[in-house]
Amino acid sequence: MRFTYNQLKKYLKTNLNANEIANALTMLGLEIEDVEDICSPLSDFIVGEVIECKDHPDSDHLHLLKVNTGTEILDVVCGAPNVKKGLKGILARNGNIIPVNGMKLKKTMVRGYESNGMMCSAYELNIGEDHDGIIELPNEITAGTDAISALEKVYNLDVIYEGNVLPNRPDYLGVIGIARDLSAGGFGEFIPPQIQEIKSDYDSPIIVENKATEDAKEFNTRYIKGVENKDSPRWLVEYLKSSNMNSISALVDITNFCLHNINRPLHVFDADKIKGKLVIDYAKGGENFTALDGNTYILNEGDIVIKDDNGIQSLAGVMGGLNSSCSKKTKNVLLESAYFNPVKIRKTAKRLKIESDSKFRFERGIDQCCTIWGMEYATNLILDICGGSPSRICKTGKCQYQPHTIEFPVSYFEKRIGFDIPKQEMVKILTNLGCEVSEDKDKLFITPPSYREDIEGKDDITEELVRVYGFDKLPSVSVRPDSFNLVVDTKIIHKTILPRILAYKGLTEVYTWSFMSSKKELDTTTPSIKITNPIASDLDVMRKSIIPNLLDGIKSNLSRCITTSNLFEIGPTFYGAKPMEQNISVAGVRQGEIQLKNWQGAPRTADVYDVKDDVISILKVFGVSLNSIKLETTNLPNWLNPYKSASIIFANKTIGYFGEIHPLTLKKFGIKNTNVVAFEVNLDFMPDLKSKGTSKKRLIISDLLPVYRDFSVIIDENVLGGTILSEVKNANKEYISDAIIFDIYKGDNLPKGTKSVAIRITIEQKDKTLTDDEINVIFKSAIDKVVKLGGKLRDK
Amino acid sequence: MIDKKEIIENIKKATTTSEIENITISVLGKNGQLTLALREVGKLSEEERKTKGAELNKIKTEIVSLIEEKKSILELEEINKKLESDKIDITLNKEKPFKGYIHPLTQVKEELLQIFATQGFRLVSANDPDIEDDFHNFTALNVPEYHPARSMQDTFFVEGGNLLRTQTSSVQIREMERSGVPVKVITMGRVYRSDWDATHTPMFHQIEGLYVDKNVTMAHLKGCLVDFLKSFFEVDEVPIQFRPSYFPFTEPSAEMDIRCTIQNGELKIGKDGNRWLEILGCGMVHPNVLKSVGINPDEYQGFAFGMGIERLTMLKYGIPDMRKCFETDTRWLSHYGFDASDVPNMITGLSRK
Repeated sequence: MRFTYNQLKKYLKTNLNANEIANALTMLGLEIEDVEDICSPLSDFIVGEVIECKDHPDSDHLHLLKVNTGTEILDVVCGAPNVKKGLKGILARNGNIIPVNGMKLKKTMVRGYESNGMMCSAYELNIGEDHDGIIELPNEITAGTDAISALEKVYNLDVIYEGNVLPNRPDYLGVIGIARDLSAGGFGEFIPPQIQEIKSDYDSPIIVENKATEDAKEFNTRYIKGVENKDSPRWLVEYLKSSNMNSISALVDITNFCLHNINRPLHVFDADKIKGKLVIDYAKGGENFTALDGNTYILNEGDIVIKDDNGIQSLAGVMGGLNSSCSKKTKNVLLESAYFNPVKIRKTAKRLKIESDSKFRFERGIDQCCTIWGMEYATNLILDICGGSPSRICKTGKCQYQPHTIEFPVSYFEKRIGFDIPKQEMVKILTNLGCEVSEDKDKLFITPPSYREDIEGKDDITEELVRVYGFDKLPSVSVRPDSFNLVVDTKIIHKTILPRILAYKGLTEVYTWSFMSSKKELDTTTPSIKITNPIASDLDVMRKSIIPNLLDGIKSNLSRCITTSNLFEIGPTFYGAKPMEQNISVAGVRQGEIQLKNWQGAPRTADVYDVKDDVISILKVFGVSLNSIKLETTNLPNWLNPYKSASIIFANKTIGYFGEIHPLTLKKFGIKNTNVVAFEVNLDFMPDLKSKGTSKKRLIISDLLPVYRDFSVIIDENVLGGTILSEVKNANKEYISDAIIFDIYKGDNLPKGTKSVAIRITIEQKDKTLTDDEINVIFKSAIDKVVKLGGKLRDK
Repeated sequence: MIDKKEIIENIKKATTTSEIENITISVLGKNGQLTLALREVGKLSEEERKTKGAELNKIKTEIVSLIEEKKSILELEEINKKLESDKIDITLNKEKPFKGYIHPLTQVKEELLQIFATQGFRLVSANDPDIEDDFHNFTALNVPEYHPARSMQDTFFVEGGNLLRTQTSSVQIREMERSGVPVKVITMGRVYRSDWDATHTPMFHQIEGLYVDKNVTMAHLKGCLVDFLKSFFEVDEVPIQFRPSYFPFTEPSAEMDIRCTIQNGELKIGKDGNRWLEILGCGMVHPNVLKSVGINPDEYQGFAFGMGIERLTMLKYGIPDMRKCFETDTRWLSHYGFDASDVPNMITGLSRK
């Protein structure tokens, strides 16, 4: 809502200046987001008097002036056609900033003559449109007077506010409502508008039939004959301009003025363009309607329309029709003042995507009781500006507005807010807000005014009281508990621990959109979860996996010449379009050199074992060991390299994947000349962490050292390392506590299709020292297991 | 005969530990001069044995100590020489491991958790879906269909009619449906609005707080938020103002501003600041919201608040462009991100360390 200080002052007697009013409004609940002050930039300007005016010898339009500033005489070169000796105008001196373009004025040479100032036009000072000539002030103003007090006498120097009207306060959509609230807040005295009674001696010749009284609750018209629709008077043009509305013609401007000023949407039909009766009815559906904005809309069944024998002339409350609109030729006008069902208006306008000031007000709810009053107010203006003779008002329907009374226990305020307002203060505030208040012991009975339909119950009263009395009176009471509460249960511990574990491992955390491009989905076996109104065509589905977004991340990093990306994200992934059909997942990608070229060793590129280790670290956070998961290398999704990837099975469920991204998938993402390894784990499939308590089993340390034995075998290259190790460990579960592979070799000196694997086993000595024989037996049992797998023991 | 002089001379001349070793063997070894000489002593008469033996033993003692002395000198020399030959360039560094960073949003979420934990709020652990139905996102929050408040936030819809939650307030409803009252929880999560420019992204994060019990007043709301701001910005005094506002799910509703100055991206909070900066929205839970989840508003009442986590993060850590939060630019992430070890806690402080 854009309005001005002077507009407000018409309805408010106040001593507050424009800035104080802005602050008051913000604290009352109409947040002033912007104040356009045209005075302040003029504070350094003064009145200058032209005491000499000669033609510039080298120019046919420039003049050489001597300008009296009250304290000195300045040389000024001026090109304005209306400059003359004795003229008093606004002088910009060197150093002044010209409001219209922000330029700082400085001494210049104009065709050989020095100029030390500028006589300004209204346009240059941002106070008017006139830029053909400079401002001419009345003669009684003396040179040296400050510009603001001089201009005030001639120009409408105003302060424009931009206010953010919240949906619950439609009364703020009229200047009158804002003034009323300021007065209730104690910032001035409300001056109610005065309207003259309209005398009329005939009935409107246009018959109105309201077939939609259910939704067109009240529909009143008045015929005014013999009007002269012309350009609006200057004050009205200025008014509309400062409220960001264009002047069209006096009749239209008057309706816009009423809408903005007294919050009453109206409509004017050119009465001569209406054929037959005017009928308010529901659209049947499919009708075309050409609105004032020039667009043609197709209506739905149930839209409220106003039609005559020629067809639809207006879409109720939303926008008038082009066919019956007023023009400068309009001689007889039909003025409409109605009340429509807000929900109906909103539905129609939303579907047709029409924004209009009228619709904006109707859908939020306007004062139901001001239809007649608003019409009288507008009629007065029409008669004043356009003349004419008004008919009696033709009324159809009647708003069923019933004032309601709220029973408000005085103590309710303190119970909810935490401090007390004296009862008499409450009564005063509510009365100032336009409520009727009666008292009964510790209760108030409050009847809100018709323009505040948002005040429905006790809590609305509480809000009104605290807002007007002032939030600054609100005390501050701590909510710290006296008992201990566990804030983060172990179930969601990953929210704090997991990111840090991964960051320690060299992965950097990112946040990417929950949506992505349907063209980049990895899993095409399940349907996409489509967004019906995506913000961009490449963000049209909810992500089923985080990996595509991370691949996009690598792609953009590569285009930023970042050649290494180690990224992870923890966030939602979706498997359906219903609430709760989502999981929390962790995903990571590694691309590029994980170890850079360095003087101690060779560079190394991230490989699958890096992401496998990431997965192991993640599982560990949830107490899941490598032994309790299974890795499957068959039936992998096609976006993974089938020879370098695995799916992770835990408790018979696939909980995620790790591996190398398939080269064709990388191509789809535009990632060239590099490999990417990735992992993704569904954290919802992880077991709930249980608190492990505080005390651990007592530690017993054996003095006996473990024994290590190494051996190597030549074995079929398809026998997996994991199989060898688990066989070795199974050879003697009691004594072999660990087994690792410390070398793998493939080469020409080995039979084709084989590899050499070197294994070290750890033999634990428990309560006694083992003899060499005992150790050899254990060692041999381990070797035998590998031989059984087809391995051939290599010579030492 | 033992040539003591020569032996001593040889010891003195030795320049390596192996020379000393050779001398030791030739003198004191199995067949060494001195060993043999001592063996010879046994063949002598008792008297001669006594004097000769004593003499030889004295020589032996002297030689042994000379050898030891010389040996330790040479050993030191040799070790030093070896160490010198292994001299390193101390200015070189081990290759830096790739470092990972914690995203500033995660850091701030953890700070918020720390603060609200001390105030006794529990973090909602599940039950907070991003895809919501109309009931939980709007209707139960006192926003009926065709209410103008719906257009305050441009909503994304998914096929099938559900929507992406426009605010975490939907979790209020789910949490009260699940665990009833009293309830004192916070939730943090992604929210979605169809808006994309310098200060808006189609997805951002909110923290939502809800405290409903029998006697929770708006004064508690203020106390809670003032305590929060002091802890979060680590200042003793936070000048604040509540400004009337409108949210369908609270009444009275307010927005909270802090008095501050922002200079070169740095936030300075204090009563001599030059502006009021909007920081969050809050209010008393609307009775209709309580009713929608079957709670009697005459018996229970409470407050709710919500704020944008990106905004808090940007303010606290002087981050200029919100959109960068959702890019994967590692230059930005390593600059504004946090070390894994920088775990925020209330004892060592909640700022960057």
